[in-house]
Amino acid sequence: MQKRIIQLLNKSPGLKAREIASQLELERKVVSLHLHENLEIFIQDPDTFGWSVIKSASFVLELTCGGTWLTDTHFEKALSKSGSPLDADHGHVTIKIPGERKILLCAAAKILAIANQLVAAKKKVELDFSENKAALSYLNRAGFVDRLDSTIKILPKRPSSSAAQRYNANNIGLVEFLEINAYGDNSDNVPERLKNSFIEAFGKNNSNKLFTVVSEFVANVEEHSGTVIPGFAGLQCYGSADKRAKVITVISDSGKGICETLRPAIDEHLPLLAKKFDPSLPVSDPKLILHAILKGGLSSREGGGGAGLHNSHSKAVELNATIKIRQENFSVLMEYKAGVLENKSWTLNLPKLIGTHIVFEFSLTKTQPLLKLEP
Amino acid sequence: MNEKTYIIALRDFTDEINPYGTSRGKQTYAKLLDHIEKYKDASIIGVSFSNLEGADTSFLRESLIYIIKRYSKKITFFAFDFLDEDIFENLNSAAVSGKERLTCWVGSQCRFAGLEPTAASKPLLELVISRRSTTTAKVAEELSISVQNASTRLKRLAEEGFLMRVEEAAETGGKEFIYQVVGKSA
Repeated sequence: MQKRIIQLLNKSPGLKAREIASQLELERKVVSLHLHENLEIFIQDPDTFGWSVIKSASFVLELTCGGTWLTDTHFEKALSKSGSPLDADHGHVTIKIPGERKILLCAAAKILAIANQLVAAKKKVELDFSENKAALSYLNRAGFVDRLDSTIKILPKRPSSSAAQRYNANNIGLVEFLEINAYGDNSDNVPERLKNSFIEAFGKNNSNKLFTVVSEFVANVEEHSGTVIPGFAGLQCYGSADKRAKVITVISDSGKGICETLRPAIDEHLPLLAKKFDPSLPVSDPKLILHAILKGGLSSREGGGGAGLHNSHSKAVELNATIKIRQENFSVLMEYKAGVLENKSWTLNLPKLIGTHIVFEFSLTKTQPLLKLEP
Repeated sequence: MNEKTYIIALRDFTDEINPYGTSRGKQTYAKLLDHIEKYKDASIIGVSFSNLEGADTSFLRESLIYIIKRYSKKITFFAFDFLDEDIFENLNSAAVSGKERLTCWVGSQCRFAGLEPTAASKPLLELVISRRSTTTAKVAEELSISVQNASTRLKRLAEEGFLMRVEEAAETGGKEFIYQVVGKSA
């Protein structure tokens, strides 16, 4: 009987027990009992009550990395290799974390974002840290688990309590992921908290530059993104005290992308510019974001976050930073060196990741000593 | 000169020492408006940035710059007592974005936030800044230009928001215009 059910479900996944019994001319009770007694083989969709064979029902996003740090580039490579689980029909998704690797904030942010987006798409999600318990412990200290939807299964075991709440932003070297909600829903001043953590680690020098960049991006999430899944921001310092430490900041949301928030104001107030960035051409979207950042002038009294985006450019110039902006299906990269924009590029046709995911990274100046790095 | 000057601290109109974003900016705008409406006789308002540790461009545009725009025909504003160069830079970006100009005192230095003066106006503006206050006749003499030329250019700088123009009794009798930079450092 089992073999016949597997053959049928491989051919027609999502059938209910009654339908399976009918097609195989078996008693419904017998089929139902067999399915429930073999949950290592079969999985039931909680909404439709349809059954599938686990092998075909499960999508595995396996992250791999050759070096010490798992970065967002590794995440994107894995996504390109398997396709986005957000586009797949599978009702069950496993994200596998590689063993013996440290996880950079930019990678953790994308794992967190896609996991929560998959839950919102009514998929069962499993984060498998079985081979890297140290990474789970590290991320738990950062409040990663607090930001993760409570229905997501964590392997080998979901930590019982968040270490981030105990550390409460005194987590030098890694600040916890701070939640960003629509303006008015949360009075937390996220940019200020990140700024204070930066000051504690490195002193006041450059702290207002960082604050300016973070606050403009965070305000865009709060005021324009319309994100239903809460966004988040985080800051991580890595490297060693004897070399120039790097500061990496992420601001992530699962809302409307930047172009969607900019276009209504541009269409209304800047028709010539709207014509220049024709939304029917895929390349127009990354070009519009570059224009907003490099040229500015897209803000209006009626709305739009153009001025804030442009301000991040001037701070990136001063800090010789790198800005990466991931949108649903494309990304934009800007690299600044010696006070000028050295490289700007974009990548189209990326697998689906909803929202806006910004990484702002810079090295500390030689004159800015590291006060503390690791606890 | 009977210019009535008031001093306010922007921090008194913000909930946080590091305000940011347009929504918070609009709240501060409403508070500033409510307060400034009470100054019926104000012709100059100095805005202190003391105790404000950070503020982004969007916040400063929505709050202070749009207040300056609202009162542009009635009140001349200046800003002073910045914690660091970054806050001044953000105010400058906010003024550019809001298409306004504002005299700022950064330390003891007089600078302007917003759209820059034309290259031709700069020497004249620098001269007035160095003197703090001057007359058309003195400018004409120092720059070796005609009084009419000096008058036209000074008047334009005043209209563009870089200088204040006040009428005073001249030593020789009659009236003359005094051109001055507004405000002073903390």
